[in-house]
Formats: sequence, structure tokens, C-alpha cells
Amino acid sequence: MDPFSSLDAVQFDLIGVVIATIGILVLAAMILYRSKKSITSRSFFFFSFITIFWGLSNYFLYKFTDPADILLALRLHIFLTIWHAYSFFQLAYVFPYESKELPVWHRYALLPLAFFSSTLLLIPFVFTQVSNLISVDEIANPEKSQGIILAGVVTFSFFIAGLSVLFRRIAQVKGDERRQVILMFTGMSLTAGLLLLFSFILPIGFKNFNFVPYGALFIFPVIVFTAYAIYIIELLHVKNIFAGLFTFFLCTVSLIELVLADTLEQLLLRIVVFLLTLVIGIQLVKNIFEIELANEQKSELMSFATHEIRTPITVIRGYATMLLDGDRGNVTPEIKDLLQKIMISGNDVITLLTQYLDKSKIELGQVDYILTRFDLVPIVNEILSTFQIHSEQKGLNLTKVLDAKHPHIIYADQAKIKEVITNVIDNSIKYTPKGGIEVSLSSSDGYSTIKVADTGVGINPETIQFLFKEFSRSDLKKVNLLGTGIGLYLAKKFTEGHKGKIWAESEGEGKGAQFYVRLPEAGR
Amino acid sequence: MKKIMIIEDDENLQEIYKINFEAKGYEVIIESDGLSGISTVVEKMPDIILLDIMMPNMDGFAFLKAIKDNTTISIPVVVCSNLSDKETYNKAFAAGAAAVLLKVDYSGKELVGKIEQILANKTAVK
Repeated sequence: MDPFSSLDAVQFDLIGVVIATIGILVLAAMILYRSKKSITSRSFFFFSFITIFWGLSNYFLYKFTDPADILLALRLHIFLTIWHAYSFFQLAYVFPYESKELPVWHRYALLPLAFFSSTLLLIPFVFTQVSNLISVDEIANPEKSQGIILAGVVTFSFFIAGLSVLFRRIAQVKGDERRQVILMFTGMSLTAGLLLLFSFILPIGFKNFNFVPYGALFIFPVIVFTAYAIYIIELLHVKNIFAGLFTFFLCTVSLIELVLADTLEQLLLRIVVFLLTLVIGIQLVKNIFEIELANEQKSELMSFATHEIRTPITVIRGYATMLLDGDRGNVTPEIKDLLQKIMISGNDVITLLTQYLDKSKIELGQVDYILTRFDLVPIVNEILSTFQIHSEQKGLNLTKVLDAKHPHIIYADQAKIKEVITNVIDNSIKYTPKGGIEVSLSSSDGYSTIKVADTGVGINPETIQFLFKEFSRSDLKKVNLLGTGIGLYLAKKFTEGHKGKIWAESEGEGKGAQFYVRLPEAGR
Repeated sequence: MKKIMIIEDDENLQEIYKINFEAKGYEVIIESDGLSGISTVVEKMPDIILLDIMMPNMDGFAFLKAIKDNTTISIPVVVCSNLSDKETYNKAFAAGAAAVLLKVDYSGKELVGKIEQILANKTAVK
């Protein structure tokens, strides 16, 4: 036998195991760093940790040649196999929740079962001794006892229990969570398939043991799919995943180079390069996480501030409405006028607050859509009623052309769609000094279109292109517009987020404008 | 006479809601936090509960969980808070809320209308 070919084989499966180990370690650390308190993150870390040792013991089991070493590695490997299956079950049970308590029977039955069955395997109960001497290419043939049945049953039960928990959860959960569970289930199925083929069918059926030492690599699908699944719920921040993958790729390349070094000088140089890549890579990923953490804190502060300001505004508007409605006796036209002004200012504060919260969410890539099926007709009616006071104050005629009998059912985020329509009408009221605004709703080709036509100042062709963009102060001066300019920008973002289209038409200054919001109708 | 329990820590909102619901003929029970709500809910047995989320002692989520765990109680709970994030929305529905409303969207009168609508739908389902 050519001694170099066997050396190469050793190196490549070692590289395989090292790649898997580093990859799993990086992913596990990333997930745990993301949210340390989440039970899913913690269970994932535990599962990954056991996986690493399982992969290493698997590798050494088939690489050791001394019977005493093999026996030790084998006992350790089977011990870890039980804990591996147990940690998979635990992860499957809590996945993908932030907090979920494990059942009581877990503490009094499952944990002791894993503990006792795995401890039993460390003593000669299972493997008494390894009889034959083996070479690199052969497999150890330890003498088995009845204990192996126990180990097999316990491991298999944990594994099947974990898979069935996941399978049942697919039917129970919806939306993002369903996607997550399907991802993890897919990953685990791939891993199970690979292990079955390379560690069971090939070695037993075809006496091919070449792939057995790569065991750790076969666990990769479940680790990668699960890590990705944990990620998608929290945020779809591709840059983090890229930074992680990039670091992983660089480390792997420099590690392969290191292993393939021909001379001692080359080896030393490549060790330095590898260590530098590893340290800088980890620092890069850490920095990106920290930036993201700071952004998240900013966003949390923004949400908290919004909540705190909304409450007193709800109170102001609540009392003002009671007075306006005449709950405390008749109000004179002058007082009514003042109360209406209070209401309008209250509405303005809420609109601005919501807009700034949305803007910060868009910047952080944290916009979530809560999708439900609903009819646009009552929504448009509701919005128009909130604008009644405002248009009355400005002496504008706010009319609608709606066929109440014909529903316009869409599948969308109701609050966001409300904001889109509100922002468009608000914009028209702002730029219409006299005359009126007409809101109509029509349907064609599977789309519902909301049209807001005003008799306002109109838009010149130069301005129309800036209309739905986010303005800077200098832009505002250039095009001589009022307000913050966020409303239409958000309307565009949210409409497009629903695969819709928003646009404006105007024959020019002084000739009014028409705004259109086109949204796909829900399928039957 | 329909009975509503309002669990809300803001005194002004308590007043606004109380006046508006009473004007529509409701018997109104006010509680200032989840803990006092949970201790009186069995005794008072309201037809519907209006629940805030951010409150001292016991927040809305904990209240929802306690109500859900008690299988003898099947009162619809409408979450009405000023939190508008997806997490609150999902958590409230997962904990068994009948509806989730954004407080600032509703005046007292509008809120009464919304609650009547929810109660009507519930009766229709039965």
C-alpha cells in the first residue's frame, strides 16, 4: 500500500471533521450570542456542543488502532450518542420558541433515563473488550453485550420522539414559525438520511467504511438549517449570515492550506495566517453583532417611547371626543371649533409618531407584516370618518364613491394599509386649499385600486419624481414642499411590501392631482 | 345588562371607558392591574374583559395565561394596548385573546362599538 495515499486519506477526513467542528462552533456561538435568554438558542448550543464531541469521538473511534484506545473511544462515543439524541429531542421540543417549559416528565423520566443509560455504557456492561487488532482501513469489532440494545432503544426513542414532536408542530404552527419548523425538520431528515447511508447502509451492506469517520459532516445539515431557521424569525439580516459564512470560508481555506503544507517554514507561516484569519474573522462577526445589538436597542427605545406618548394622546382625544359628542352638554360653535383643533393636533402627533417608528423600522430592516384577509370598504369608510373633522375645519368637501355591496377583499397588514391610505388622503388635504377630495374604490384584473383625487395645488413634472422619495431638508427647499415628506415615502414602501403599486398623476400646477394605490386582491 | 371588566392602569382611560360603556347600558367593573383582575374575575363573571398589556404587578400576558389555564372560565378577552409590534400581536393571540386592538385608534364611543361587534360575532358563532 502506498503510505502517502493513506496519509492523504487521514488528512482529508480530518479536514472534514475540523471544518464541521469549526462550522458548528461558529453557528452555535452566533445563535447563542444573538439571544442568550432564548431557550431555543440555549438548546441549540447544547445540541451543537454534544455534536462536536460526538463527531470527534466518531472520528477517533475509526482512526485509533490500539484496542484499549478503541474501547475507550467506543464507550465515549455511545455515551455521547445517547446525549446527542437527548439534546436533539430537547431542541425539537422547545423549537422555535423563545421560552417554553419542558414538561414535568422530562425532569423525572427523560433526564434520568438519558443519565443512567449513558452512564451504564461507560462501565463494562456494554462493551467488555475489543478483540481483534485492526488497521487504518478496517473497522473495530468490539464484543457487544445486551447493553447495546438498551443504548440503541434509548437513542432511537429520543430521535423518533424529537422528529415526531417536530412533525406534529408543522401542523400546529403558522407563518414564520411553520417555516422554521419545516426548515429544521428538513435539516434533520437530511442528516438522518446521510447517517443512514454512510454510517449504516454502506458499512454494513457493502463493507465500505470510508465515509464513517466523516460523521460530524453529516450532522451539518441539521445544524445549518436550524441555525438559519432560528435566524429568520429574529431578523432577516443577511449581512450577519454573510459575515459568518465569509469568516468560515476564509478559516477553512487557510486551514486546508495549513494541512497541505510541504515544509516546516510553510507550516509555521500558514499557522500564523490561519490564526490571524480566525481572530480577525471572529472580531468582524462580533462587531457586526454589536452594531446590530445597538440598533435593536434604539428600536426598542423607539417602540417604548411610542407607547408612552400614545397613552396621553389617547386620553386627550378621548376627552375631546366626549365633549364634541355633547356627552357633557351642548357645545357652542366656538368651543366646537377649538375642540376640533385639539383633535386634529392629537391626530397629527399620532401620525408623526407612527411615521417615525415606521421609518426607524424600515432603516433597521425590521418591518413585519401581520397578514389577514379583510375588506377594504369598511377600512376606507373608517379612515374617511377620522378625516371628517379635518376637512370640515379646512372647508373642504370630502366625498367617497364606494359600492358597499361589492367587497374588496385583500390579504394584507390592515394597520399598514390603513397608514398608506391615511397618508395619501392626509397629503391631499394638506395641499388642497379649497375645493374637495374624492376617494373611490374600483376593481379590475384581480387588483383593487384606491383613487384619491383632489382639486389642490397640483404637481409639476419635476416634483412628481421626488414625491415618493425620502426627503432631506435640502431637497425640501429645492422642490418647495411642506411637511416632513415621510408620509408618501412610507406609503410607497408599504404598498410595494404588499406587491402593490402607488403612483400620482397631475396635469400640472394648479390643476389638482390624483393618487392611485393598487393592491392585489386575495385569492378565493 | 351586559357586564364588562376593564383592566387598565391609566386612571383617565378608566374614566373615559367607564363613562362610555355605562352610557350604552353596561355594568362596568374597573381593575387597575392583572393581579386584582384575576382575584375578582371569578366572583364578578363579566361577559367580556378589556385588557391592557403594560401594567404593574401582573401584566396583560400573565393575566391571559392565568385565564387560559383556568378551564372553568371562558370569557372573551379583548387586548387593548398601545403596543403595535408583531410580537405583542402574536403573543396575545397565542395566549387566547379574542381580538387585539390599538388603543389610540379608538375613542371611547368607537371602542364600545367595537366591543358590541365582538360580542355579537361571538353570539353568532354560538
